Amino acid sequence: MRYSIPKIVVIHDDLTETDALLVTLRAEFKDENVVLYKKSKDGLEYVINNISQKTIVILDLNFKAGEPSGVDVFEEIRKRTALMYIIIMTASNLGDIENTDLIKFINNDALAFFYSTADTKAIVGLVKKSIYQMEVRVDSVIEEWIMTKPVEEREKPFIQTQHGDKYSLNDILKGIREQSEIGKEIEKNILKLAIDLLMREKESLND
Amino acid sequence: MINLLVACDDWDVNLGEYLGDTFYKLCDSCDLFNNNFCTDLIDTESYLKYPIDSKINSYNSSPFLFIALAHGNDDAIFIKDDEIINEANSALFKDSLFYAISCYTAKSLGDVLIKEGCKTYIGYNDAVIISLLHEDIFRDCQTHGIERFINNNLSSYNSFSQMITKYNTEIDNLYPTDAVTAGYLLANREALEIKGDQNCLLVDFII
Repeated sequence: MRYSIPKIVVIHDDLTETDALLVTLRAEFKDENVVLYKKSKDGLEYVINNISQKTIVILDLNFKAGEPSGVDVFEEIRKRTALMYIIIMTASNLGDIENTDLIKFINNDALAFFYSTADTKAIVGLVKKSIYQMEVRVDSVIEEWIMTKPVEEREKPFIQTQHGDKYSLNDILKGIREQSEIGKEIEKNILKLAIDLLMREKESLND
Repeated sequence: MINLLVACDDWDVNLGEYLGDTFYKLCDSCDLFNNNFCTDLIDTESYLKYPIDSKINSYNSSPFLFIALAHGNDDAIFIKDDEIINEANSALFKDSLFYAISCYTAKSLGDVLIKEGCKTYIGYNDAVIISLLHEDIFRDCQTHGIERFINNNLSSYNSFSQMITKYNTEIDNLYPTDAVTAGYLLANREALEIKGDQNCLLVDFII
């Protein structure tokens, strides 16, 4: 694969390290890039503590009592970033999932659903699709660019609006992740820049 | 001799320093205090003491150049949150070249000025964002049009075109390392408009 491999975080209480899914994912994407968390709380904590890392989450829907549910984990991740790909894994029929939960998944960009019994090849295909989309999404590319900057540079004021609002690169990063107005504005600007450069022949599509 | 009036909100709490530095830059680059110009400055300290209306009335209906280094909205130019130019006094700008680095004035004020006999208007139809890491580049782009008009004897349209070219040059220099800032330069460039007489020259303002 030409693209860099993100971390694949599997959060599922019934899987073990020797399950076919984990073995297949590790064979395809390398051992060090795949982690399993059996407790949803631990998986969520890992994801939140590594929010700047490119991550694909494979998330079970149902966990034991006392642990955050799959919906809870999904919502907590989405509060912090729109840039993480989340694939929902379930043993239930879609019709058995609460409508309100389905609406949350759909409206907050859950990448895909698959049944626990699905062919692992299909799951690998979904993960590859996620990796590709991470490479081409403008917001992911901006996030990656900002993360190359030293910490102290990211904290300095970067742009100023006429109203005096100042934004650092960290503010912009937060805006990208949370899809705030500043985040969306910058994404739009970058896309328009790409089109402008193509139109003025500063770049070409086969570069 | 050419009458030149500059309104500069150099004490603005957010952008005062930037606007003041822009004025000094123009004084240097266009030699605004040489014998060819009768240059007046209305700044934050003096705008109440020397109202803009009485200053323009002292030109006795002669043509003049006007440069706004101040905040704006669709309908007005402001100093210290007070509207100093709006529809009510727009007729005073008859036979002037009106050059504004302010936000939004091309949306409405520019048309009003032209309707009331302003020769040419150059300004922006959207928010103008400043990069705090590349202030000089943004300032150079914002002032390039009036500098070309004064220094190079270009027509109003050609000066405006040179401004677009300047923006493109800076975008092209910047985007390989900082596409986010280049995106904002592009957004500023796209907001630029020229209205009215596209063929006027500096000599048209000699009294």
